[in-house]
Amino acid sequence: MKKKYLFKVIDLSVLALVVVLMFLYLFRVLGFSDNTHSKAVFQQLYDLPENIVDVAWLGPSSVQEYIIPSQIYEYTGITVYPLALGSVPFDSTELLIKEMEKTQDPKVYLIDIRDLAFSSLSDPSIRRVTDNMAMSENRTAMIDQLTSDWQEFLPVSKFNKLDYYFSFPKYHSRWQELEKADFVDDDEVYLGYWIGKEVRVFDKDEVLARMDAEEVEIPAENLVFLNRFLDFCDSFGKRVVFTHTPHCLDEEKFGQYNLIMRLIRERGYEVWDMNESVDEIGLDYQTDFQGPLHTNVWGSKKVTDYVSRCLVNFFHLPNHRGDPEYADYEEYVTRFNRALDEYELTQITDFETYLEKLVSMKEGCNIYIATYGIQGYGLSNQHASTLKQLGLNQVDALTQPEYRSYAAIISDGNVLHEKLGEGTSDTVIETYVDNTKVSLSSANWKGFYGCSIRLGVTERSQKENGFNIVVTDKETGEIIDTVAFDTKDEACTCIRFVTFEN
Amino acid sequence: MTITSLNFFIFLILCVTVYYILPKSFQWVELLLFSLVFYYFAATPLTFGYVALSSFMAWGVTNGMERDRKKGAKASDMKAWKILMVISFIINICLWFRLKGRAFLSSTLWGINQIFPSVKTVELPEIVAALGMSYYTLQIISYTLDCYWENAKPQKNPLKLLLFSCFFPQMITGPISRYDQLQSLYEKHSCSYKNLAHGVQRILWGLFKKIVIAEKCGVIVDAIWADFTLYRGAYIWIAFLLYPIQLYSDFSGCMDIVIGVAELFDIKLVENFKNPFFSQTSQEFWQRWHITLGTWAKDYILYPVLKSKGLQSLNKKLKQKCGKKAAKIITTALGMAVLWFVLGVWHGAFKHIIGVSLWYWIILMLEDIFKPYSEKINKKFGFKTDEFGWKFFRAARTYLTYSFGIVFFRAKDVPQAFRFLKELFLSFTKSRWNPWVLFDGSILNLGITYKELNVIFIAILALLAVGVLREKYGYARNWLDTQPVLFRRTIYLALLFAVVILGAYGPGYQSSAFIYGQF
Amino acid sequence: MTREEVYERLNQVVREVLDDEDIELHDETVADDVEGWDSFEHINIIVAVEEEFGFKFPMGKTIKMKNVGEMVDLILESGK
Repeated sequence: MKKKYLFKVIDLSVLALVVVLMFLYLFRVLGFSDNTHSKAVFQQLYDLPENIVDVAWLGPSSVQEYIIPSQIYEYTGITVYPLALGSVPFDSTELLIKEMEKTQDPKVYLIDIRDLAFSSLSDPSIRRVTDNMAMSENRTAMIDQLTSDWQEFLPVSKFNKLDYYFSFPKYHSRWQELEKADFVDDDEVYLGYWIGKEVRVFDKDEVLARMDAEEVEIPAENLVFLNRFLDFCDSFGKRVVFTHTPHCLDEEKFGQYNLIMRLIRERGYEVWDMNESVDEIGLDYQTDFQGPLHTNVWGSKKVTDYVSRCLVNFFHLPNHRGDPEYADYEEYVTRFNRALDEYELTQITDFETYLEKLVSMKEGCNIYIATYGIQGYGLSNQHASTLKQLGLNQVDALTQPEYRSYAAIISDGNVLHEKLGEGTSDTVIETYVDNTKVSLSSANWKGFYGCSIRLGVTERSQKENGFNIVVTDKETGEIIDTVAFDTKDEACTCIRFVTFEN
Repeated sequence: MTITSLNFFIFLILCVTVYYILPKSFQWVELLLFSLVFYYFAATPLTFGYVALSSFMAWGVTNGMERDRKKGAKASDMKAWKILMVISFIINICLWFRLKGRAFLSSTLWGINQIFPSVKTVELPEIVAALGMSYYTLQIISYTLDCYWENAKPQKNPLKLLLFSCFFPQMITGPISRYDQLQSLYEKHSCSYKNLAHGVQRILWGLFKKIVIAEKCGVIVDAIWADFTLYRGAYIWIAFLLYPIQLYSDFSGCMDIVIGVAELFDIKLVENFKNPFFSQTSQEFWQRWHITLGTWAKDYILYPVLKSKGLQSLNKKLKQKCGKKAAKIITTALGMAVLWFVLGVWHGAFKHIIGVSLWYWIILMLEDIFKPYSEKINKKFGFKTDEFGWKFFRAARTYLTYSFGIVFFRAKDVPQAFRFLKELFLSFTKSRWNPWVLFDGSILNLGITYKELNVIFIAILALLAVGVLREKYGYARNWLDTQPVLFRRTIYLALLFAVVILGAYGPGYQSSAFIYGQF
Repeated sequence: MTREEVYERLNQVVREVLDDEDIELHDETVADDVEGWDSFEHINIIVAVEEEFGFKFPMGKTIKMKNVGEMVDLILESGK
């Protein structure tokens, strides 16, 4: 009798355990999600080994979308971690510092002032912080702090603090919008930074003229938060420097920042105003901004470059490159540079530049080439020699002004197949690459089906005249780029009509 | 505190724990205390006075009657008790009318005013009613009558009787139990894994129906009803056909939760639904829908009326004049009229007199009258009446009949109901004909997403499956119990996660009250 | 009066009310077993039985009878 009872207890315990584990997984998947990668900012911080961060940088997207930590590390060996989230309310700074201090011991704290000119206390901006922080006393304190500040200064009618402690009831209906980032770690973020791709044109002189704007009042609550934080800094003990990253906001905003910078300086703290150094940074207002608030990846690279030099000069921080304890940062260097290469590839429109880029990043890629029509009028000897650097040897024939079919597959820098059509015949390659069936076909001028690069069952090429190139990531099979260069004439027009979602 | 809220579940867990830890002889006291606590949080506390009043009146009358009966009292004394009993009924009914039937009074006056404009309409000021007044009032009346007819022994302990009146799972939407069905309230119960497991499973299933199906259907139905000058043609038909499912899921889902809750305490409550949409006739429908109300009305209204001297003498006279068949039809019609009128009034608004009482009175009479003729026709033409197709047709017909009647239930008043029906019939005219909205994604404008539509569809299939299993095995659970344990657990876990993930709850949702909680 | 006698008269009454000469009642018979014995006919049968045997069923018993056997018990109890 006792045995049966014991068995029942074990049975139910196992069941209970299974259910609990399933729920924990459910809470993880059906959680916070947004398009500014806030989850990863905390996650990647927690994943770092302890006490390796030299500089912590707090602020809103004026830090997150500007500073590329892996680049700083690559150039200077200094470890910067931007604990920065879009529209993060300023009154969270002190507790975020506390969160940072749990696992890291930065010598310098940089605090960006961007958010002080905005009234950013709201449900989404609070949740970006509280839903992504690890469960801890600090999180509870953060919820209490942010919600009480919120209700004090910008009260809303429907408010229940419990929803912030346990946020699953809010997100359970996200089952309708689940995406990759909910299930696996966000791979588009590199120590908080993610690649910004938009471009918006600004008039540099007009923007810089606003720098002399007269001081303008900031939202009352931000004044309170600023003073509160400065009081905290007085007794903090570590070096705190305020920053002002470059932007193209309107005159009123510049006026507000002038006020803020003066107030901070009056309290005896430094403000590093990068708007004064845009020439030194080399920012191009035609290409480097996504909008008035953010630089894109080109602008961020320049700002990061400048920041790297300044960090070395201002703060005398050690160079950790080569130190095995800092391997995490080393890995992000590789990952980010690869991601940047892949993005840059998709932006190139010049054939020669494209080929050179391919040569530099051929490891880790599969490159599929199929041609259609006459290549020779546009394909120069220069192009041919660069193609040879990829390992393709039969390309000389293509520089002749005659119709030849041609297809090739290069995997991880090694040429797997290269076929030049005999005379006017078509070329077909059907094979398996990394366990995927691929079929390439290239038609001579008679063949009206043009060319085709089929991976699996899906057509991936642009199906245009000239060189059709498809580049995929070798490990994941994801399409990095698909492009065609019309080598029928010297212009070698770049064609990317068709885009593929992975 | 509604019974789908987190607070209620915490309350429930605490209650169940206390219930099985403390000595068994106190269990009924605990149930009473739980009911009082529940009442405090779920309703306006002072209105409990009405419940207590009804309960103590019944206690007094029944025990007084019994005492005198035992002593061998004179007929005149017994008559006095009978009068007191009737007075207690009148008090109960008047209270009900003043508190709950207020809308009914004013809407009836409005109805009369339409015909006789000289009759003034009156708005009585609202007084908050007791929770579940329509349910416990009937329950108390049934107890009193059962004692009067000596079908049951009166409860000597007034607090125990109070528990019968206010047992908290029943306070929202019933069921309306008889006194002899709830004797287990006073018995001793031991904790068993089976009861707890079954209770939890039942609650889960009820939650699934309420917050997954009913809420989501409600979004569609409410959107269309909000503006059926905008949503015409095919939309009207969507609302028309979907509302019974919403109502069923809401009401029977609540019943499942309530029965599951009682099961946690090892109390068996009687079923209120038995696959109503499988009914072949409307008469069968009312034996499967809101069963306890139907049986209450049959036992305490219909039978006394049919057996009354008045109706019996009328029957005799009619038999002589018009023959047996006609006599039966007329007397039945009269009895039914009284029954349906009471049911319509119970539902609390004048529109229900039209949509519930009048409509079903006509339908059931027609069914009764035409039954012999349709049987003859079926035989003559050799229709395959035993086949599934025939049964499906009859069930569909019953369903449509019900959809028609509850238009009045859903509408806020009679004119709106008629406007809806007008739109329904006109939907085939040129200006409203729009079947393409079913295909071109317009439905997504109603506030529901394409994925949620899929969920509704699959959930309705699940409802069907469970219904079929219930027809065959008594309870779908019985069939599940015969299946391998891994399969069983997979099903229940799937149900749990369906409720947790798909349910309509959390900030951003207004947890809507149970539709039948208004009674 | 014996049980058989009761059944003889009872069968007659029910056959007349339901207009069906083939009806045979037994102790275990319930309303569902008999064609046409629905809620309304139940009352008519009750009234007809009351007339035949010359006594009145208590109202409470009308709704509580489980099967024909119980009805016969009540008839015998009434002593007429």
